Amino acid sequence: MTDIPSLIPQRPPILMVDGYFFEDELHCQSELTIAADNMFLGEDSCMAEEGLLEHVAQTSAAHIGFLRKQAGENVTLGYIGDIKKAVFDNRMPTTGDTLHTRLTVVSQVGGITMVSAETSVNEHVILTCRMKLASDN
Amino acid sequence: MTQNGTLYDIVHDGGNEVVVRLNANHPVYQGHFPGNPITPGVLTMQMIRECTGRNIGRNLRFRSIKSCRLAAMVRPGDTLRLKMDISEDNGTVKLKATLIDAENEEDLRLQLDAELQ
Repeated sequence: MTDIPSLIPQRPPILMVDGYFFEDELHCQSELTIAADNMFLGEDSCMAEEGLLEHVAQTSAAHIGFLRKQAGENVTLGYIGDIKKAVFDNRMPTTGDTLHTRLTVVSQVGGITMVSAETSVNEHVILTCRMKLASDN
Repeated sequence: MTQNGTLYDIVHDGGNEVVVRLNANHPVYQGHFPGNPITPGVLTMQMIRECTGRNIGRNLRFRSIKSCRLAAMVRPGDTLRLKMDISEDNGTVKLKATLIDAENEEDLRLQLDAELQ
């Protein structure tokens, strides 16, 4: 478990990871417990699908940030380049639920990282997707 | 939270084609990123989902995203043209959308192919 703001440049109100767990260079896990004031909660108190995607993007950013720090480099800004094959469950999480994400790095060339991710709540998968991220040098 | 009037304003509504302006005073820019405001790609996607729902008259959720390419950065203050190709099949809404600079057709920001419900 690592201090998240030391790994990623995002700050409230759009901080969408509160736990990062390094496994190896190609794998990590993350968590987010949804607070009542989360900006992605809708009028129905459910999280918007885009909130889950941002959580996955910030999980990737945390992993990239962790590896950069290990290599003695600075944490830089990153951007979503594309999202592919995202499939959402028909029930979205709500306040108090904890998102749990498993992330696999599929490839990394220069500043471009491809990942695949699976996000679940209480072992129930609510999102699978692939994402390409671009990082500043 | 519906974003209309906070993240963006619709400045022209032409049905399948709308022009939006991104508000610079949305609180998200305090954190994305401090001192360097860039519109989060996922909020641009949320804007497109809301505009699609507005077009067909009900709230929609993404069920799947075949692909979403965030081709170029979007910043607060930008005025953008959203083109939506919407078809409905048994309650499932199929959407192909492109977001371009309102003044420059060549300046592609985002391209989306998704199903909503």
